[in-house]
Amino acid sequence: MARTRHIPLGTYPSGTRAFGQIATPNGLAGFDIRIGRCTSATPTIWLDPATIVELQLQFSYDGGVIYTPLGANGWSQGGGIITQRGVEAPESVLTWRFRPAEPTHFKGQITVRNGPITTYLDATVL
Amino acid sequence: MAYRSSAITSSATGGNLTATPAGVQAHDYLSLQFTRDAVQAAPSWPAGWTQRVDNSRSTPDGIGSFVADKDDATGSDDFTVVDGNTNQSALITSALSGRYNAAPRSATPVATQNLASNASPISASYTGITAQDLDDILVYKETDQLAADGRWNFDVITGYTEREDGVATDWVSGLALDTRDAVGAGATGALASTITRTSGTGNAGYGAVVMAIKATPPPDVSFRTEARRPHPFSPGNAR
Repeated sequence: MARTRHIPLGTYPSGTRAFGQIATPNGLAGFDIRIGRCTSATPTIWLDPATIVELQLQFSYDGGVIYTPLGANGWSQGGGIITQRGVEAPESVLTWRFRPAEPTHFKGQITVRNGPITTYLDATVL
Repeated sequence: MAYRSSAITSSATGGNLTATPAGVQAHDYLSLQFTRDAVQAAPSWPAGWTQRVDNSRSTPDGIGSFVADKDDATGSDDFTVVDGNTNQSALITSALSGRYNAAPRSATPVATQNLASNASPISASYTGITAQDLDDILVYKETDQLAADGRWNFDVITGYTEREDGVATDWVSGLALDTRDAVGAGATGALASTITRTSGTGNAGYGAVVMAIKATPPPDVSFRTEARRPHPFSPGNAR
């Protein structure tokens, strides 16, 4: 399915911002979350290594009524340029897969510490 | 009382990863497999977890591969692997119910390393383990891929159930968990499955860790027999 922007490119202060809920079709194999990060070509995006982004995801298997608890599934990291085998990473890409039980919905919250931060968040259902 | 659930996640830029199996209960047995592109130091495990195997290797490409576990879950356990590294990483976590929390491993976990650069499909063989009666078997498998864009997946081992298989992340795409509940006592023998590159390019080596996890033993019921002493007022004791 198409990649969809859930938090537009912008500058955000420290704090927590929610996104979703996002319905997922039957047969969902998983999804990825992409958060824009600093490269030599995009030096204003998530520049500071001290700026921490914490992503928390919650999954629902019953149509969005009950969600898994906050803290059960997530990721966090600092900013700055990350070079892997000589290539700068333009995004942090977090992937979750589900088999055999697939959620019907997911939602999340993104927390910024030591902000502000300039970035965006996209989600793609796989 | 056996395999309960598992979860899988990955990050293209490393960092701290959390994946929690659904429905974890107190006294479950918990385990995880963490892989990261290239051989580097182990991450920090969540509180109460112990690293059991470092199966990292620098050939054919280089992969960090670790298995850790927690013998006795509280039911509100932390599944966060704290990693300051920025290489691609992936994580499988799982929970088993009805295990012997006091000493859950029937044998030392057995690791396999294949250091060859194998073309797809790979006929993989993993060294087995000696189980006790009613053990659950966990087989954590992973690939060491030689090209970033390869996407590797595992066939299930015959007689086992595939619980997790693969992530769409460069360099660490191949990782999987197969399980088998309540096996009989004895050696499993070598375990085998085919590993296939489902997209992308390049060859891969592979590795695995096999674990045998004991069932909770039945209650200790014993019978004691005693010689019956004659009753003091029985006829035989009359004075």
